[in-house]
Amino acid sequence: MVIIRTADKEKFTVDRDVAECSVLLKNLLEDVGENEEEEIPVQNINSSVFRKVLEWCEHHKNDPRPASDDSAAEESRRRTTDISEWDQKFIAVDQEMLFEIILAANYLDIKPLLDVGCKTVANMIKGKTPEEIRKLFNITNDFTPEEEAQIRRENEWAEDR
Amino acid sequence: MNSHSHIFGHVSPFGMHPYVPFEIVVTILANLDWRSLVRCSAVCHFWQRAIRDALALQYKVELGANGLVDGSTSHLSIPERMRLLQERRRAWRMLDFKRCITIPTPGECHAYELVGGMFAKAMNPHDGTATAPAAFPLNPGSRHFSFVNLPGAERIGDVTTEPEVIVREDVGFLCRDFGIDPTQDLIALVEQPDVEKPSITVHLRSISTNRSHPSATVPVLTEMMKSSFDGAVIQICDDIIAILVRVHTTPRLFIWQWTTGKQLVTETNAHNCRNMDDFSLLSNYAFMMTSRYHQGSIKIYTFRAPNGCVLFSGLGSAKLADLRCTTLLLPALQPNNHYAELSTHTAPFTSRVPNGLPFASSEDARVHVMSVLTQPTQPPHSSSDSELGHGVGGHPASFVVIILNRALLKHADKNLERRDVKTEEKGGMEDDASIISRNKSQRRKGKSDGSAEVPWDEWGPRNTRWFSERSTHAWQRYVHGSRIVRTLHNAWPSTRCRIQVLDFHVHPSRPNSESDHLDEAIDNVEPDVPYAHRLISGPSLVRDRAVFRGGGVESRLPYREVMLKREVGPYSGFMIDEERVIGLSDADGFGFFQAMAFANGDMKQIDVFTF
Repeated sequence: MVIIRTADKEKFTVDRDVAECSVLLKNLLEDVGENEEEEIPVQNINSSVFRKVLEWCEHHKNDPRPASDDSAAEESRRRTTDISEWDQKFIAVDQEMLFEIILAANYLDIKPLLDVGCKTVANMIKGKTPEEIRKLFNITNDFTPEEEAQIRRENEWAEDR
Repeated sequence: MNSHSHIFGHVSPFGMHPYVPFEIVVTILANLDWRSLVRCSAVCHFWQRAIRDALALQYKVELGANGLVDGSTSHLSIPERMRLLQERRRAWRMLDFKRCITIPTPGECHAYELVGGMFAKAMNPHDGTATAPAAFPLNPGSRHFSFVNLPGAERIGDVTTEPEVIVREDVGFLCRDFGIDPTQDLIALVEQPDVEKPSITVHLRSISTNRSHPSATVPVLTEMMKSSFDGAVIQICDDIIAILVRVHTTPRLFIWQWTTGKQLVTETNAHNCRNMDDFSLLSNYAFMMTSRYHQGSIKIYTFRAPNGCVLFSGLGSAKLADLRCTTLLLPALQPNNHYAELSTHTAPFTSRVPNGLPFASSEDARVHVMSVLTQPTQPPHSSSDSELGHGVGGHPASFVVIILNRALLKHADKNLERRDVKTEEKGGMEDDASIISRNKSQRRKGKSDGSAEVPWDEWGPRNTRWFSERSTHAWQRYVHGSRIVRTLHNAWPSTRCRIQVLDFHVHPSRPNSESDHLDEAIDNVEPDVPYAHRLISGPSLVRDRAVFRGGGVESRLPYREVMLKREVGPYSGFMIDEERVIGLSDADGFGFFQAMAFANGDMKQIDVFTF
């Protein structure tokens, strides 16, 4: 068991192999060694998000770890565009939480979780017009009308009608 | 949250989440297909920069623009692949072949295939006439197979070795026809039917071992037949095998999922098949059939969902009538004219990018080549010369039509949507007005049996290109992905010829990167350029008042045409694939005439032109 302290000072007692889903925590734990008393702080993550991340790690703790050969893991991830049913349910959260999970997975270095999050956002983008995408994510259109008209002309070749 | 972006004076990539860093935006966008990526560059400056500046995303757009998908060559970095891609584009545009390698292919040839860089040839090592049943004088069947991995474009770290050859002296039975997918190590061998007890028997074997394929639950697929068949066309696409056989010229269709041995589609009803001319898979979930009567058309059938879910809920396999279908009409002909032949051809499918290739042609760019023959319905009676040309009968005419697979597949997808409309209708989930408006927006005439008809003008002109020419493509594999190779024969008695390649995946309106117009100007004034090159982006009109009701057919699928000025050969024809043009030698030097009979001839050797 290891103790992890989130940004809002909440303490979590976690199985070592669950924590080791995170490459960051795994490295930190190696430094700490067998001293189980020591608290590990994760500065950038709040307890609500961390609880969610732990839920994911708990379910995936027995998954094969990404190989040290990064390119091979990269390849296998890229090939599977589908998100497993469990992950789909897990990631069915509001947009705010979705991005918090992505940022947490990035910080903690949990590549498969980062991937689930990024794919989910990408699926939200697919098939939408730029205007619909802006609306969905509350993005400000910072193009001038002239710029926008030009981009539309320049992008026309790639539209599949 | 929005105030953050205001305070910090920049616009955040995701409005609600001001801290999403550049590399995460790139990771998210990397999951999109290339067309979506291009579209997303119009969202805001941040996204535009990400798509423009991240090499991984740039590479993805370039792959798409060139009709390619990435291979599994993970040891090459993205900059290296990007460079290879640009080199390859340039090489195809100039037909800049660096090497020509002669591969001996001794022995006669009954059937051959070129798939994923592998050339496979079937023959009977013994004197064919002695062992062959008399019932099949044209194709005695083959027992002997050879497989050659052809040399390809030189790659980094390439060690020049002799091409790898596998020879099977005797597969154990007489084989009528075969199909291969080297990326699945699969060969499907169709047994020569027994005249007494005819059946379709397909052996699923591993190319490398000649044993039953490990992924095939049922190693031999069989289907009893009432009578023997004359010819078999076989296509493999992922877990699907489709076989079209002809029984006294009437086609019969069978589609299996070869991994499970489950038969998905069977059409043996002579009445349903009579009007069909030819068949081709469009993907692993849809196929097309060309139909001559009562009006020329292409019928698009969807036999399962793109995710592999089988839609047909009845017992056994589906008949054509059980499947959702869209009929795409061909140009209307003058009265007393009809479509006499609509045969169609496309490159073989491979389940993955062949081993060792950094990228390969994408399904997005696939084209079909359809040979069209029209004839007067009532042949002119022997009449005086003055009547010829004025009679209502007209004259036979032939055309080659290039069709974008993507455009056909879109209708296969709509077949599925239409199914949803129907179920929703039943469940009362959708009111009539919205169904009507959706049907209207699809602009198709729905029929009571769930089929739909699309007039030629709505789908044809922008997705096809018509050429008025006699089809001389008796050999296989002259089309690969979006490219077609044509053999321009010299006038007799010269046996030399020239290579011409047409590419139907071009983007004349893409800014900057395609400097076609510039290139063209240079090529035309420079007499030393070894190739002739032009980009055709405007519409073309095939005129024939006696044949077409509108006086002709307009089509406007853009393409690029490149011809190597230097003469080569003698060759009877060319084949094409990812990184090669292959010259088929004929022993006797009568290139053009020999090509027609090639499949039963002696091939001796093939010449591989590669980059």
